[in-house]
Amino acid sequence: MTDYQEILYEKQRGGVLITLNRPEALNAITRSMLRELHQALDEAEADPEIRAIVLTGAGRGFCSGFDQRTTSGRRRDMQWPQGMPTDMSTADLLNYWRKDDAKLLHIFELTKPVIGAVRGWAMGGGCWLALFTHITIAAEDAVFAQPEVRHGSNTTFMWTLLAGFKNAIRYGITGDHIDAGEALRIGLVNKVVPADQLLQECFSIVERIAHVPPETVKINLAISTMGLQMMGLRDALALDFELSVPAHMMLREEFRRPLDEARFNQGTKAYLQLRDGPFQPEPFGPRSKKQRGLE
Amino acid sequence: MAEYKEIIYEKQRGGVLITLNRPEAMNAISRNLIKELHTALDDVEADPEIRAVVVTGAGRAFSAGMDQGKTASGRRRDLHWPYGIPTGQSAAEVIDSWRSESRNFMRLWEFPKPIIGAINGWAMGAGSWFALFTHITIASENAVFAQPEVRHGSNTSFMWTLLGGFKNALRYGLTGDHIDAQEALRIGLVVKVVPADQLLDECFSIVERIAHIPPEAVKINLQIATMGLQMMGLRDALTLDNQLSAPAHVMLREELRRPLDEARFNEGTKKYLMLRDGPFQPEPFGPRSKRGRGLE
Amino acid sequence: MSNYETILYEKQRKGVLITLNRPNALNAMNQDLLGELDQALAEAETDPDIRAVVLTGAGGTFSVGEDISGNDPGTAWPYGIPEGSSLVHEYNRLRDADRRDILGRQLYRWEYPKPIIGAISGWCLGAASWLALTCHVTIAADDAVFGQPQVRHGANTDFIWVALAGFKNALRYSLTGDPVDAKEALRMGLVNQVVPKDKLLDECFAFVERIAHVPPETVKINLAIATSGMEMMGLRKAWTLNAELAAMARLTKREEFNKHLEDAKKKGGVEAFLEARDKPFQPEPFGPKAKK
Repeated sequence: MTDYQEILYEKQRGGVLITLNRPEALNAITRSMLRELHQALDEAEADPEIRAIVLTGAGRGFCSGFDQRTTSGRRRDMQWPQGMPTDMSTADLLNYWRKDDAKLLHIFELTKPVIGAVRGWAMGGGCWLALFTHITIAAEDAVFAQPEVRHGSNTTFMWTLLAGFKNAIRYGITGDHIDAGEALRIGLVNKVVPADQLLQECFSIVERIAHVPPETVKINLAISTMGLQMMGLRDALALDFELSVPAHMMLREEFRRPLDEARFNQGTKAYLQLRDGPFQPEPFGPRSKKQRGLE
Repeated sequence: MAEYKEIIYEKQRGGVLITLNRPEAMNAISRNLIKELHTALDDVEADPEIRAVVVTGAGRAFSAGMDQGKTASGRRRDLHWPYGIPTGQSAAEVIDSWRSESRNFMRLWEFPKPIIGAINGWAMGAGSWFALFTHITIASENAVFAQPEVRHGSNTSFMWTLLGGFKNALRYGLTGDHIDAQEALRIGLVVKVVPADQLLDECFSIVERIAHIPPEAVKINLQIATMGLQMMGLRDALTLDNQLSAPAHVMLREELRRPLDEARFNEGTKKYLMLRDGPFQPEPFGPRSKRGRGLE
Repeated sequence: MSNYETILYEKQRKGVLITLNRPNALNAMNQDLLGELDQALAEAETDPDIRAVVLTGAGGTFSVGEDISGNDPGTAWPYGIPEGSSLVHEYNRLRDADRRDILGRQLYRWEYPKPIIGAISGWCLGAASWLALTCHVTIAADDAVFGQPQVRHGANTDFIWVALAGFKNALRYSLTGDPVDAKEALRMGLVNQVVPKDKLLDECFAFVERIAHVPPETVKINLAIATSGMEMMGLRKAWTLNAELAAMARLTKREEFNKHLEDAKKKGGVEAFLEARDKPFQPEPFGPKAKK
């Protein structure tokens, strides 16, 4: 079996628990973690003892998204007003951003069910991982958001597929947080459970799946996922992936420059305060229950 | 008018109530029932007095699905192991027999008059598909939806995905787990849940409202929805669904299938069901699960 | 800035409030209003101060739908078309009108590069429901009522109800024209949120102000991921078919259904027409007049 550095791979109860394992960085996604995740999915797919996969995050959060510091491996100073890194041509830059969001389809198209077990923060790329799983169970403390849209990044069509365009747009154009109750209401998750029951809930589903012949599970998974592709999902996602390019490249100095300077000169905390400060308080986040009349 | 043995056909209140009428078999769908249903739908199409159809089931069930007792070929098919193919048949024959271009459900979907499902009880397997393919679906508080046959080697229907979204569809379609009326409402399989004694009245009051509107207009508005979804690729999704029925039914593992078949043929349906569904008890979303879900 | 007669155009809080402004006609939508709405949207599109559009109705109600108050030409029965006209002429006229006025405008608003937020209180009926539902985000006041009563006299529904609520919910209400209240609209997915009436505009503009913190090109792209994404899944095809079926629907008149309605209108105007049309459907199962 492979030796994983940034994920855990623990076979149990007829399935495997894959844990994104960088709790000190709120399980932020690095290139190497992503590589290991996809390797682990392939490994699980090929192992006849594994009937389903549960995907979760180490510690108190699911995943805070793509690691801001290391995905490019280095800091990129921008040249203004061009809005381009100082050492790249437009060709380089376009090519860089035409990256592999399509890898997300690996999860969706896997021939075994992938169950997301989400507690705490599921942000940005982390939120996408949760959405692309076949079944998603959230803990009561789960929070879903795409705050990176606030600094120049794209949402995903998966929000629209699951929650309808109104809900998807409401949260996708502002990056607003939503709590577990709202996620359930709009269709991003199947069920909400207390945090200490999260893994038990997911593995009890794995055990039920394990009673069903594997080829049957595979076919029934395909009826749903391939059926949606028959309805044009793949085309919608292809458009989505291409729109990631302009989303990342169309940067305005007055918005972007202060954020980059805060990040490079003062650190991530200052950057996040600058980015998210104007959006406080979150109208649908976990602290908004009282104001929404839910407690 | 045709004389029906396995359905009841009762014109009323501007529409017709078609009752699946094999209560002793929980309204399991037999070849004859399908034939009678098609004849009934022919009558409905031709009768200008009928503005909409309400379909329900006699007794405790809406329909328990395809009749297990009588197979499509009319006789029991003993599978020869390790091949997993009925004795004396070739793989080619078997696959071909399952590649049915099933027009039955599409006829409901493309029917020129609205079909309202009045789901009075158990809607299992193809019975659940029947409910899902109706244009408007009302459930009684006693309704239960499930596809337990996926547990022995059978396919789900894309309709669950269209209505419930893929996460809900897969949660229940991969395991055959039962869901009660409230969960069916929550995920979008039905539009309303009513007390059992109000079910038919609820459905026929909708029929009466439809009857005030010109029939051609109703047909157009029905098709804006159904053909619109076909424009969005539903037909392709259902075609794929249909074709995947073949591998779903022929990819059978001896260690999982053989004991079920032997139970059914040697000891009877009850024993077979215990063997198939036993490992899945208790049902986490079935009607008895309300207390565990904090709903009572 | 243009001089508008049937709408109000009020820039505020990083957006613009466009109000359907024919309160004496419950904001019924005529060609003037629809034309001015498009003009206003075009104006807002190129104004960098405006980050999003909020669309609402004057007088505490959104709109009762298409304006049907004009005098109709007499209908020749049993043909069901205007006296002296021909089927080819009528069909051609209706088909072109549906493709240009309904489909064309719908696609313009759907593909609009800035978010359009519907602020819906009171009546939101017929084509006004299509306008409200095709908004990118829709917030309803607690007194909002959505419905398509026009189907009762033989006119068509719109696929947007299916795209949002699924076909079962859509058909329950679009085959009968039954109204739905704000709570049911929320349950079905027609709106994002329901708020007290006096908080409606503030809630919408608070959202506009959040949008204004996000770079405009980013908002534009993320809007397109949803809207163009749905077109990739076939929404445009569904709407194109819809426009063809709409023209047919406008021609589905039968003497036994429609003549008495037209006679009522000739005699007593729109009010009499509506009473005659909706009478068989009383009591409404939902909506403000429904029995509790």
